[in-house]
Amino acid sequence: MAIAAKKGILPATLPSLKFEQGRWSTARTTNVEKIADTWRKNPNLVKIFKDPKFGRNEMVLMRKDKFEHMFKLLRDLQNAQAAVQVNMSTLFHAIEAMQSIVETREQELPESVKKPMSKMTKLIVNIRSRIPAKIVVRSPRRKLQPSPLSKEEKTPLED
Amino acid sequence: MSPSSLDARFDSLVEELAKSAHGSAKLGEIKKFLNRKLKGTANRESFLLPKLLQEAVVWKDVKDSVWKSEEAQRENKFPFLQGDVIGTRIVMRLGEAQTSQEHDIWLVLAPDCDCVRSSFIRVAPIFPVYCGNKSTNANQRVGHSLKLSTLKAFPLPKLLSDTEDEVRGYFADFEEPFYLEQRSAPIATSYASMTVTGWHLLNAIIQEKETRAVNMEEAVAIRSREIGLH
Repeated sequence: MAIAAKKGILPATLPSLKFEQGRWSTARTTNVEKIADTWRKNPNLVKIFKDPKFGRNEMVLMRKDKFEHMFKLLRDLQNAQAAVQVNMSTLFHAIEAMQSIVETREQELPESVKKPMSKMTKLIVNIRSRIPAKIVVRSPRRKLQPSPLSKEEKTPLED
Repeated sequence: MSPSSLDARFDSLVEELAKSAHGSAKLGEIKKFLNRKLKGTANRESFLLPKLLQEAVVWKDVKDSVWKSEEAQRENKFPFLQGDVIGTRIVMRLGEAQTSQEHDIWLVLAPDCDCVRSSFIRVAPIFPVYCGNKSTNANQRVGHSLKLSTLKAFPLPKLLSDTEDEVRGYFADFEEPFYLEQRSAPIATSYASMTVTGWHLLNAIIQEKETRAVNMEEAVAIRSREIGLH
């Protein structure tokens, strides 16, 4: 992510957030002046509060401008993703038109044009076979499953 | 000391080292104890699980009693410790692009100092085990892990935040390597830490998994062969 941002691939860079863990039971009694002072000194601080009542969904306290920055980044990425899809779709249509010329007018085309055009259409067919419908910039998602039982673990338990 | 007595002394030191370098002999005794003195999974479960975890150890709470100088305290500021049960979705899988996992609960396997200083921290996914159907793979695995007879998993009790009655406990799965980047470590929340007993047992299992020689005679024979280097 950092490399992509440096090269200007992404529309914005992620803020360098600093994370700190805390307990909600103690944080809730903190003086507001103290909290404001903490943000002033460390604007990138993100406080994560846990409490048995929260279960595994902890609460986060961060400055609103930093949150908005991240929200905007996500929205820009979504828009960039849509633009990429439109661009790729246009590119595919253009190449398909070229492919159609090669196929229907093959006899009329001079050798010097036919060869590179055939090569180009083959390349795009190759790409399309790898990218079936549309390019989607998304992290691979895989639900983790426990590993298979070993031979020893398959041994029946005595109870 | 003559060269021959130096050799003899060194050889005896290595022999002593070999007793513990390939897994702890004492772990074998603990396995025997769990097998012979506690009959049945339910007995082992009620005996062993309450001994393994305690409330999460937080750096702020322990720094003053462990390190005297502020510098030492800062140098050893840990986000979590070895054996901690942590929650995060930004763990990375070995051999895949740097992407996030959907899975959200992990056991820290890396030693304490790696949690502070290493670029990558090794963790293992934790899976829940539910009450009821005893014939599931998860229950079978937990049964063996409660005997410490499997090196693929480590048993864990319910967590404080578990409100579901049907959760019986958990097991950490050691099969695949997963890593957490040091810079992302502070975002992970520690739900529980190991007790000293739990931590020793976990280390013994990790050591046995990573370094064991199942057949010592064979392993030594392979390495004792004279190989011509010329």
